[in-house]
Amino acid sequence: MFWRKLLNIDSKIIYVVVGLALLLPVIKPVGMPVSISEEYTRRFYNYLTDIPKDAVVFFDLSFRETGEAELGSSVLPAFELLQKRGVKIVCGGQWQQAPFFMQSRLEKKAEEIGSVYGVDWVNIGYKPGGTATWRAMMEDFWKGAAGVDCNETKFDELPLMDRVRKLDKETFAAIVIWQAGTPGSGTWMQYAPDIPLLAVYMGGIGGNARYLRSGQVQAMIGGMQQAAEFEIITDCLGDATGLLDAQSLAVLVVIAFIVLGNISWIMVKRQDSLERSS
Amino acid sequence: MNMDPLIMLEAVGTIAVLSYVWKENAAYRFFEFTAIGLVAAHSIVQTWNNYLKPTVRDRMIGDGEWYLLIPAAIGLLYYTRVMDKKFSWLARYPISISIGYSIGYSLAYSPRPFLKEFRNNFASFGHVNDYIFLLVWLLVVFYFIFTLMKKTKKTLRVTGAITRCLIMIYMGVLFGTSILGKFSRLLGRYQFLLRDWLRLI
Repeated sequence: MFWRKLLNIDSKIIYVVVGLALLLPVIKPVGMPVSISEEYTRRFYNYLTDIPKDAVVFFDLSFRETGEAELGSSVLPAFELLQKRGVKIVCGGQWQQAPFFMQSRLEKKAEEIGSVYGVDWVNIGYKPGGTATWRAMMEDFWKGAAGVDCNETKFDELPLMDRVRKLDKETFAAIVIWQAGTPGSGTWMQYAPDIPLLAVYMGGIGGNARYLRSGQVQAMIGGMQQAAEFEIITDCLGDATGLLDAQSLAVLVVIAFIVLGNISWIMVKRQDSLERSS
Repeated sequence: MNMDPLIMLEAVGTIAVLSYVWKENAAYRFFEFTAIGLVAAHSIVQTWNNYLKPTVRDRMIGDGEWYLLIPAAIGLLYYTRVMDKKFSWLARYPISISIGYSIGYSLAYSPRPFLKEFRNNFASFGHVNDYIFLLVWLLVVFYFIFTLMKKTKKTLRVTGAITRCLIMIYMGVLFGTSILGKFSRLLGRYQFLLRDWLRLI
């Protein structure tokens, strides 16, 4: 029977179909229209543009290579937006990978827009030790961060770091976190609740919307959709705008599989009960 | 095609890991173990560069903070676990100190974000969403508190059924978010293979 065969379909076939649905639009994007979300993307953008000139913002890059396509694509527009407005940026991360592999992309972007490393921005890299390290930076940033950036350059050779003596609200106008999981924004809500927090979540906002409502996060965006919106609103088109088509098509395929799976299950159940009664 | 050896290696590694979707194989295993080894090695180098070197060179030798030898000695007691059994009990000291420290830390800082979230979420009622939020919260709390009474009380059975649907919707949102995250990861790899390696896009 057709429905029984469909219900017992080899999972590898589903993987291949979903894989192709993701692959084809990457090769040939459709160019689906994108509308800007007022509650999330516009609010996120407005918050960044309201940060006063010459303030210092901390970029917490808490993701790994697998998050580069989605999260990495909104780091660069945010970096460009703030740097062009004269806002200073200190990058770091609670995850090992992103502060390092984003360095070359940030350097390239900085060169494009004329930002000077050490004066306009610094990347302290990943500092192991978890929350104890961040707590130490709140007491003494230099000591907590071992006094060196991601290239082992001493803080006293980087003029911007003269202004960064503590990880507190007097030093940082905001923390912007790009997170692919835990540890993430929870660290800042727990240990630095006084510093305004902006968050970019991987996959989507999901259950994190409650933090926006409670005011623990001032603005947030999530998923490829809002990464694409952010690229458009900042006029800095990158990966997310192109990849959104692929993700949308794959979601449609998954929905189709869920619907077909449910119909198959109902049909098989009905046939089994008919067979039992006869 | 990009013939840079690092890009080639990354491409082969990506294909080998993705091949697990079809079947577990030796190439997948090789790259899985390589990745674990790399992470372990990287962590050791990071700890050495970020902690041990600056602590010993700058703080102990440079600034004369020799008291740091005391926590270092306590930390070294961890290794007594792999020594003779008559010394292994000494490992309990660093373990008890670190657990005590973690519990103290949690008790001091964990309730704060939760209480703030709770207080702020119910601070103002003006929008219809505020009432929906309160209603759903009450239903979920009642659902778990009166789990056992659902067998006897009809009202609780009805609200329980509604609440179960609400919880499932929430779980669905979390599941959907997780799936989208997985798609993003795969898209990143596709982009690497097609753009950075094969230069097709």
